[in-house]
Amino acid sequence: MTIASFEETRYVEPARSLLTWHNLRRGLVFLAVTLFLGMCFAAAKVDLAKLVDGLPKIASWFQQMFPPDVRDIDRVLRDAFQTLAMATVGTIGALLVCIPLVPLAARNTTPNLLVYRLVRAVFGVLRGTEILVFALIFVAAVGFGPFTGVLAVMFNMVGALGKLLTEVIEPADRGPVEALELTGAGPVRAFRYALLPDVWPNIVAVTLYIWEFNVRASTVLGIVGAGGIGQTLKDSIDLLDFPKLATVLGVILAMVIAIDTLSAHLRRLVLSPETAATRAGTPTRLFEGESRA
Amino acid sequence: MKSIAPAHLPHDRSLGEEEGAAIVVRDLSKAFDGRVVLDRVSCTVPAGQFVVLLGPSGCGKSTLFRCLTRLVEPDAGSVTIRGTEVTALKPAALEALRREVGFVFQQFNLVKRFSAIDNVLAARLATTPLWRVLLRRFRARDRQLALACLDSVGLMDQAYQRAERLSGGQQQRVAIARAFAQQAELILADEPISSLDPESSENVLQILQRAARERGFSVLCSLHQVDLAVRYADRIIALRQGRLFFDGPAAAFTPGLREDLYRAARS
Repeated sequence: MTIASFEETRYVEPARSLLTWHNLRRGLVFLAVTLFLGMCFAAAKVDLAKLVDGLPKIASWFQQMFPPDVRDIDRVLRDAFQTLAMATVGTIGALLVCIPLVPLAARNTTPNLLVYRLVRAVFGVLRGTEILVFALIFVAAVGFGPFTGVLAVMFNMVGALGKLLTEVIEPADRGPVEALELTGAGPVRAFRYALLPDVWPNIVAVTLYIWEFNVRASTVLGIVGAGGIGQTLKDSIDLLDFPKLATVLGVILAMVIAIDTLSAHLRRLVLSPETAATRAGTPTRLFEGESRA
Repeated sequence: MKSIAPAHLPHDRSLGEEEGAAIVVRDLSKAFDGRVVLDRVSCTVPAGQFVVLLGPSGCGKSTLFRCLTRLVEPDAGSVTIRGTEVTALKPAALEALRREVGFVFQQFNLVKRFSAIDNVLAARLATTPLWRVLLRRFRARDRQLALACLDSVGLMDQAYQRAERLSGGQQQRVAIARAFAQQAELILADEPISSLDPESSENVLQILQRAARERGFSVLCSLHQVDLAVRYADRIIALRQGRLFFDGPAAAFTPGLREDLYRAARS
């Protein structure tokens, strides 16, 4: 067809009316969302005037933070390391607890539907309770200190990490697992040899991501007495010690950025297809009749 | 639709033909949701031969395959593999029987991140103690067996290459080496060349043919390329719309029969 002018009508399309059930539904959804957002803004008592009034105070505090007080910085660093330690141990603990539980909660590896639902429910409850909430409960029951922080991280993370890990395992390719089961290997062997190698990098990546998240979340646990730099942070605010506050915030920020960067780097490394180990060289044939005892 | 009179079926089989047969299928029937997929199919795979299962799409080839090792449970009929009635086995015995049957899939089903030799070693999992499996330290003799199987399909030099790095044809050969490593004398290959280019397809069929001719394996392979079937197979079993259409030597599968087989599918 030559590019003639399309000014004249050549085709007629079916008419579209505006008053369809589809459009009505869309309109109702839009109304509902607007209503919901409006109620949220009202309940949250959004008041920009308040923010504007408070700005000079924040500015004056910010000014008082400089120069930061770096005396006793080694103590601040030790507290920061304690936070990092709490997050790390909590993550490892959660991972260990997840190892036996996650296969029960994934559709393709669970032995039966009842167990599946039960473990998923447990994950849901643990995940739904924030780390800080667990910290409050455990400080009352177990006492102050970093171990309480570890417990708080572990309990919440069994739920969060568990859910993420099931989402890593479920989409795994069934093909190799089926193939190995057909050779007579039982479900445990088939899982270890066919499914695990497939999802292993994703498991490591998810765990690194959770670790990084936990470091950030753990910085505030000290505020309720569960150890780490949160306590130092709260003290400096209570005493209105702004130079000290600047140091503490600086150290927290530096630590979090460092861990985020490290975690992202390690995740890239782990997920890249180059990293699976292979042997160098090739096997050689011995000549006929020659054999090594 | 005109009815198909199977005039080319062998007459009543004598017991002699079935003794020592690798697979004997009797009156196998299967229906899915009321739709009949297999209708009293009876056929034989003699020992030590390369038999090809032919037929147009939807003729029941895949279902027949899956019924052979009870991946799918047949509704009626029996399957006997090397004298053992598969359809009557309990789960533990069924697992033991499956160890004796090598399977090759259309999609290869290799562990992609593992090397070729690690994939072949997977065939030895069933007889390897759990601690060895967890650490992936197989016995020396299993490694020697795996290398020998890789060598027999011409891939010994690629032993340490990751499976996902190999070409389609090479991956399928690794899968065949895995089936060899089970030391099973019966190999079932479900559309093994459907994902391969023509050259790799011929290569794979040659390997399967050699396994039958030189080592006495029994091989049942489903294909939809009739030319390749006629060239490589010793015997052909053809299904049409869930019923047996032909079961005889490949040489007896005339072009006329071939037209019949595929023409009815189009009507």
